[in-house]
Amino acid sequence: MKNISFKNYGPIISDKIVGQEIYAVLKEALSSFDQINLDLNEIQSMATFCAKQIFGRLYIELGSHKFFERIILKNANNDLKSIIQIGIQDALDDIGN
Amino acid sequence: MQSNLTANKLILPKHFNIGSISKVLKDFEQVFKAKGKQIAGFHIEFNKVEKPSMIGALLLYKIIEYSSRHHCFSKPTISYHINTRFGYALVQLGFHYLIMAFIDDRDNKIDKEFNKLKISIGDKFIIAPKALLREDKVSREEINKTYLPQIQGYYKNNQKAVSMILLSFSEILLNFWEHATLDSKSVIVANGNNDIIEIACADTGEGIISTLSEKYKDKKVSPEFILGESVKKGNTSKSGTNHMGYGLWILDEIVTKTKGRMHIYSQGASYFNEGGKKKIEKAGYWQGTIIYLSLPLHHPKTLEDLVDNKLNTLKINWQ
Repeated sequence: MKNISFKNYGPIISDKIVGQEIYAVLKEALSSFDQINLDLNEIQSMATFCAKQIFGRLYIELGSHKFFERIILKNANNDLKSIIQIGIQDALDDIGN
Repeated sequence: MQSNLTANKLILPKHFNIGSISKVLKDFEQVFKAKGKQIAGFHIEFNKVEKPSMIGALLLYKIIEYSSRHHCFSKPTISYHINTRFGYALVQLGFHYLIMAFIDDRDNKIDKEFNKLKISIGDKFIIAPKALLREDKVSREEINKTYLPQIQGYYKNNQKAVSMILLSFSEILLNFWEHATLDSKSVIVANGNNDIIEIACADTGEGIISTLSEKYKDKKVSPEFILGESVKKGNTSKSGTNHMGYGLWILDEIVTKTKGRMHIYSQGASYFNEGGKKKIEKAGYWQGTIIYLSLPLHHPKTLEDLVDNKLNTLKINWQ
């Protein structure tokens, strides 16, 4: 298991460049570890665009079961949970699920 | 007396606040028409302003920055005294020296003044201007490292308000970085106290109407129609990409639920949400987009108050 802190990206993620960077970090970690543990404690908010860019894309690529098994999201506040859910749902809507 | 642009003269209005912006934009549109023309003898009269505001100062800065960058006027003059209400407000809001740097037209001075923009915190207020310099990575990082933490700190006793404010910043900033692609020097500004916060960002980039009009290219639709569509959930110019069209919808819903206020102006159209009462009309032409939010803080709302429960069925491993 790999622990990844989002501390350096907070308190908000509102930039496509940062979103791309985070996606790349997670993708690389997933190529080496069975499970990754993301600590979102320092993230207060995120643009829905970035939620889709990072988590929506990973959800589609991994599928729902592997996303659940391989990515653990820790310490997300309720607002952030809603933002990530919207990002994932919108990515699913794009492919007709 | 409203603002007036005749015979190469622009007179700012007595009440230069959110209530007068529609009329001011009708005068400012002449500045956009002067792009590249280097019109001589242009004069701006600041001294009539008796009731200044954050949004007025922001728009004045942007129109001067635009006219400088696009060589609209040759050696324009202004009537302005710093020892006036408007002068005091421009200093307090951080725009005075920045505007002067653009009027002097000296790049090194402009950069210096951008770096000097800083947050003022008093017992009962916070005024927070921040430069949005597209090519400057440090400036972008500072938003997270120094700018937003000070706003979080000011509102530390109202965590739900902090969430609402940061959500609003997330969507406004994303909108700027993604859509105002032709604007490299903008400013986002917040002005708040314990009861209310105003947040505004104005750019002279591509504009919501231009970016969304691609979607309606086969239909004859007005700028007002397009602006109205832009606040609907899921409306985006770029389907199948990370663009989701949730940003303005989220802001609009928060404003409705908190009985706040949101104004959007873009390329001849305006959208108003005044405590849930919504109106779309024609407006003076502003190249780019102006977003103004005023959010009461006593009953803050965040995204968890807006979304439906069906999203909870997604398989996500929260711990």
